[in-house]
Amino acid sequence: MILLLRALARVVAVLLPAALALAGLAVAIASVGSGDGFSLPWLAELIGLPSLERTVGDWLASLEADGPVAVVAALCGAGAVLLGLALLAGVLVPRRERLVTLHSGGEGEIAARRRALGHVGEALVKDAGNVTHARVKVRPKRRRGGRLRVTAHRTRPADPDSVRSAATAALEPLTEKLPLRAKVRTRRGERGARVQ
Amino acid sequence: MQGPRDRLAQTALDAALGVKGVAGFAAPPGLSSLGPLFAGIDVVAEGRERYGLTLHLAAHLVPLLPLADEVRDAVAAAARHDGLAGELGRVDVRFEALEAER
Repeated sequence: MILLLRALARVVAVLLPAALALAGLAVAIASVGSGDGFSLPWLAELIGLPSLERTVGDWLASLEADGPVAVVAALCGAGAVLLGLALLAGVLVPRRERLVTLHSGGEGEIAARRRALGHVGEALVKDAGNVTHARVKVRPKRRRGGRLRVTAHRTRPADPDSVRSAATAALEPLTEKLPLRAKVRTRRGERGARVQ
Repeated sequence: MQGPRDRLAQTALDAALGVKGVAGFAAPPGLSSLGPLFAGIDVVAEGRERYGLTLHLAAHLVPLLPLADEVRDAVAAAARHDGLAGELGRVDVRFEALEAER
């Protein structure tokens, strides 16, 4: 979600200043001229402001008064505020850290990339009995260590508890030596899936 | 003529590659502080004539904490040997990739 908001904020951050710059340039150029020719009234006519005023004038008048139009306007205003807050969140909320800190001290820090740890976890779980394939997602903790969320797909006749125990035991090289905790869940493998 | 930053990076690179369990350097996405010549090593000034290193390593499937300590020791020893001990600051080790030994 934050990734999406971040992308949206980046697009808006490029498009909005570009649109404002173009509009400002057009107004600046039109301001140089005067009279009936090349001028601000000419620019307004060119982009259809008078006809727009005729079209939305009544609506703007009803907006000032109480009634259903005012309610719609209030809702639109609230929506704009929410959109602004979402864009701010996209800019300000930090991305999830891609590194898991394994040790930190005065001499330096030892860290590993989440994906690398995940691949090791998957390789270890695949070696557990009756596992057809595994997925490991690593979520770093704020200061040190992280959690492994493991999904082990088991062969259809295998007992889920024994597969869970075997997968947890297979992960011990990671969970005993490194500040990582594992949560293993099993899923019944697809028909025909085999242990590789 | 290399400055102390580059000499320290070269020393660290040679030392780390000599440690058993290190498969190589793996540059993370983005630009290295030293350019393509030392892809996988970042050097940051920590004060006057002192530099902190970040080593982005690819490693074999071995215990990571002992390996990182071994790399640090090797870098410190090599820096001492090359007369750069005074310039060496923190050494951060980041495992960018882990791979099976061939």
